[in-house]
Amino acid sequence: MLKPKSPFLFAVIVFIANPLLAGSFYSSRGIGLVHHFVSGRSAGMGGVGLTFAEPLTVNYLNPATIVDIPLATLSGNFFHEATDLKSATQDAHISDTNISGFQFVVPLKQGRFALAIGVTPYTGIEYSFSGRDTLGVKRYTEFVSADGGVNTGFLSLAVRPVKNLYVGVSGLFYFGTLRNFWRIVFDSSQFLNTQDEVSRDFTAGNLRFGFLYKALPFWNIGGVMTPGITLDANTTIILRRITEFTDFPDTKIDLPLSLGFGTSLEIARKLTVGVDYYTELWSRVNEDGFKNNSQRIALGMEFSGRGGPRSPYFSRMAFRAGFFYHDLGLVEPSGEKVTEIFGSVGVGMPIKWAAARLDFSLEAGKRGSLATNTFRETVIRVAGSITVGERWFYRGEER
Amino acid sequence: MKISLVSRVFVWTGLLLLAGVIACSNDMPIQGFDLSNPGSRGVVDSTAIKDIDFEVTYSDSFIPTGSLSASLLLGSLNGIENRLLLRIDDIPDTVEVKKATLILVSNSVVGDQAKTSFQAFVHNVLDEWDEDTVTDANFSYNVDAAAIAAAEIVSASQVFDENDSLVAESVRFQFDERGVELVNGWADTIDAVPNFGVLIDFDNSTFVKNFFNRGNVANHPTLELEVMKSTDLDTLVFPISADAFLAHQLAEPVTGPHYVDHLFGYHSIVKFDLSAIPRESTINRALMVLAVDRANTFITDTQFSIQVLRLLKPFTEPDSISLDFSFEATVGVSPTATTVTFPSDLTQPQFRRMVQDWVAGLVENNGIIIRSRTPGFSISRVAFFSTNQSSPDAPRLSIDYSIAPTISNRN
Repeated sequence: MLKPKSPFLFAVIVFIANPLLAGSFYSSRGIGLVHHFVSGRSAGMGGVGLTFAEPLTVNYLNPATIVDIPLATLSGNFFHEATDLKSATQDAHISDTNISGFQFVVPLKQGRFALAIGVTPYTGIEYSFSGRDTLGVKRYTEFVSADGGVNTGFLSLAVRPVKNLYVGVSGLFYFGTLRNFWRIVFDSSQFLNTQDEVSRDFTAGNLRFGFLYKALPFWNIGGVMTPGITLDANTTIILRRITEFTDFPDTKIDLPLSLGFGTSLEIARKLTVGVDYYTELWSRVNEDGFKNNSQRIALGMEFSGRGGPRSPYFSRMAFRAGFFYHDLGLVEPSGEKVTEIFGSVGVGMPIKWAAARLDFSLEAGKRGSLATNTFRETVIRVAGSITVGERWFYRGEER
Repeated sequence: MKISLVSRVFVWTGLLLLAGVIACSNDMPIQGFDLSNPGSRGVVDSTAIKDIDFEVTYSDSFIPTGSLSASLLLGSLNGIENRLLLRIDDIPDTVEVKKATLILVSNSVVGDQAKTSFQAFVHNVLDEWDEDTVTDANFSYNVDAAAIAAAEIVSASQVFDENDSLVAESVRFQFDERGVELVNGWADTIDAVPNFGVLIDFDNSTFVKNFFNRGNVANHPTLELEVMKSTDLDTLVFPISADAFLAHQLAEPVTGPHYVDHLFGYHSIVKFDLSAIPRESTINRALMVLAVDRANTFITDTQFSIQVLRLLKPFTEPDSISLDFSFEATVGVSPTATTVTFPSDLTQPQFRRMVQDWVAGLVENNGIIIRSRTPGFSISRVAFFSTNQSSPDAPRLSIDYSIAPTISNRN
C-alpha cells in the first residue's frame, strides 16, 4: 500500500524549498501577484469552483466543500507558466514552474464532518531587471530581481449541520519570504561587485470562512470570506561575503479582506456551468501599487459522461472550458489599472486502478495593455493536478 | 482500495518530473529601469571623507640602526647628524700590527653636493655598546677626544679606476701610532685593551655619505692590517664585526604635518569619521589619499616605504598602541611625490576590507597608523598635510560604495 506520508512529505519539501510563483513585471508591486487557485478541476474552467463539491474535487478556497469527499484524499498541483513581456521598446521573457499547493483531506464522518490540511501560495513575486549605468568613472551593470511570496498553510474543518448546508472554517497560517536581490557588476576590477539581498520573513495566523448551500439538487450556491490582516515581517539585509544585518524593526505587510461568491448549475447531469466572483479590498490597505479593489469574475463549464467503473474510459473523462476577467487592483503606471483576461481548457482523467484523477489545464491570456500599462504580458500556463483517494481513517457512512 | 506498485511508481515519477521541470527556466530580464523602477534598488555612490575624528603624529622611540639597518650613514643633512660605530673583533695576538687602515666603501651620497668634501675622524670608544640596540639616545658618547685617524669624505660614491671604469669609491682611515697601538692592544690576549670599537665623527658636513655595511658581502667595511710575520711584512684584512650609525636630530620638526620616518619613531594616526556612510553599504573601493608636504619632506632613497595598519584599540599613549597586522596596506613614496594613495595596487582588497569592516560595524574604527615599513633604513622623513595645516590637502578617504535596498515600514 502506498504510504501516505512519503509523497506528502516530498511535496512539502519541494514547496518550502521553492516558494516561487508568478513570473511577471507586475509582481514587482506590493507583495506580488495574487495566486487564485480553487482546484485542479477549476483551473480548466477559468477558475470557477467555489461551489464544486464532489469526491475528487479538493477545494483550496472554500473549506465547506470538503464534506463531500468520502475518502481520505491527497491532492497535489503544479504549474508551468511562460510569460512574454512587451513594452513599447523591448521584449522580455519570464518563465516559472512550481507547485501550486497540496492538500490532504480526511473525512472524519463521511458526508458530515471533514478535516483537511494543506499549503497553497497566496501571492508570488518573480521578476528580474538589468541595466547599464555610469557614475563618474564607474561603469557597471545593475541587476534587480526578486522571488518568494506569501504562502498559506491551512487546517480546515467542515461540517454539514443541516441537509443542504455546508459550512467550513480554515485556520490560516501565513508564512514565506520575500527576497529582493540587487547586484552591481563593475566593468573594472578595481571595484568590488555588490551582491545584496533584502529578505523579509513573516508568519501570522488568520481565518477563512466558507459555506455551500445546495439550493436544489442541481444548483449550488457558495461563498468565502477572509478577513484582512497585517503581517509583521522580519527584515534581513545580507551583503554577500561580508555580513548580514537583522536588527531592523518589523515591517508591515497588509493583506486585505477578501470575499468570494459563486454558483453552479448541473444541466442534464452531464454539463456543469458555474460563475464565481472574487474580490480583495486592496483599497483599504496600503500596499505599493495596489490602489483599487481587485475583482475577478469567471465563467466555466464542464462536460462529463459520468460513466461508471465499467463504462468506456472516454465517458468517464471530463472536458472543461472557461474564461475569466481580473482587475488586479494594481495601477501601473499611476492611474492606469491593470487587468488580465484569460481563457482556459482542461481535461479530467480518472485513473483506472484507483479512486484518483488527473486534471490538466491550459490557460492563455494577457495581462496589462500596451496602450495604458507599462507592459503587456502574454501568458501561457499549463497546470496539472493529481488527486488520489484512499480509505484511510474510514469511519463509514452516516446512518 | 489498494494502490499497486505501478501507481506508486507513477506518483513518484510524476513528482520527480515535476522537480526536474522546476529546475529548468530560461528567463530574459527586463532591460533598463526607464520604463519602471522596480523599487528594491540600492544606491551606487561615492564620497570623499575629510571629516577626521582624531589625528596625531608622535615620536615614540629611537629606532636602532645597527643590525636592523641596511645603511651606514656619515654626515649631516636636514638637521640630522649621523656618526658611525664600528668594532673589529678576533684580531689574532700572534701578529704584531705595524699599520692599520679602516676601509669603508661608498654606496651613495645624499644631500647638498656643492661642497665637495668634509673631514671625518676616528675616535676610540670607551664604553660598551650593542649593535642590536644602540641608538643616539642610549649611546654614551664616551670616546677618546683625540682622533686616531682622519680622512676626507668626498661627495662622490664612484670613481674611475685605472681602466676608466666606474667603481665604488673607498675611504681609507689610516690609523696613527696611537691607533696602531690600540689595535695591538685589542689583539693582545694577556694585556688586552678593552675593545669597544671606534666612533667616526665629522666636521662641517652638508651631505651624508652612505657606506656599505657589514651585511654587504662584496663591499663590507674592513680593517686592513700590515703585520710582521717572522721577518716579513704581511697584509691581513679583517671584516667589521659590528656596525651601526647614530642619528642625532638637532631640532624637532615643525609642528603641523603628519610625520613618518625611519629613525626617530615618527608615526601618524588618523581616524576618519565614517558615519556618513550607511552601515548597510558594500564598500566597492576605498582609497586614502595623503598630500605630501614637500617643505618638510626629504627622501634620500629611491622611495620611502610606508605601511598602514589599523588600530585594535583607541589611541591613548604611544606605548600602549595595539595594531592589527591582518590588514596591511603598503605604498612607496617617491622623492618627487606630491600625493600618496593607499593602496597602491587598486586590486588589492586589504584596505577596502578594512574600511568595510568599520562601516559594517564588524570591527571598531579606532583609526589607522601610518608608519615606516623599513625602520632604521635611512634618514628620510615624509610629512603629510594634516587638517591643522591646509584643509584642501588634508587626508581624505575616497570611498565608492553602494547602499543596500531598504524596505519602508509599509511596503
